[in-house]
Amino acid sequence: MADMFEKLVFKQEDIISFKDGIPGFEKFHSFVVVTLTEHAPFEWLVCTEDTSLRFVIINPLAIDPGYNPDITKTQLEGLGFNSADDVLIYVIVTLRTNLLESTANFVGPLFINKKKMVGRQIVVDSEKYSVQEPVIKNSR
Amino acid sequence: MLVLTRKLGESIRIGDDIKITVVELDGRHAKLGVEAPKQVIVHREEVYERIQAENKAAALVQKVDLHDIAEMWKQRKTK
Repeated sequence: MADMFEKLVFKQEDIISFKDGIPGFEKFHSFVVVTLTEHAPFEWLVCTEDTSLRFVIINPLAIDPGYNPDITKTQLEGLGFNSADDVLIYVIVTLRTNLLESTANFVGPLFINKKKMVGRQIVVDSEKYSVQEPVIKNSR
Repeated sequence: MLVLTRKLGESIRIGDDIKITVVELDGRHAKLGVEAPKQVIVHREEVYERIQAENKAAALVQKVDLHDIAEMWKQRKTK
């Protein structure tokens, strides 16, 4: 089976620049969000420098409408947010062999400025959330 | 590693603009105050390591189809 992102076509303006990379993958800086309606609410964050590097992502509010991590202005420094409308928030999903046990990392939300196309994974230093929040909670 | 002994209330300075002060001592716990420029991001080491490890686990997804989990999600929603 051909890899679905092997021949990924994207526009230059779709590239989101992660200046610091993503912890664990600091060498990679350019990513695109790939959305397929049939996979909603899940989306992909694919590295354009090496498309084999990819993450499943989701808007955390879809899992927990009350998601409200403590984030300081300092942590968002450099992302150049001028308006709340510019903010896109995702969390990275870890798929498990048993998909029902899949989790999302609520401690490391991705903040993206969709106007400036820059992003960063923020480290939330609080006990409120886990790096492994269940995704399909009610199915257990 | 450079090891320095500090008493309660004493500080160390890193470069020109980072200052770390021992704010409180309680048995095996030390509470540290960090003064650093806005662009310097400070967090506890283990939190960063946990995120790194979780990112690496999440990146193991290769040829997966999100179709199955999207279906599970829909079923969860209708419950």
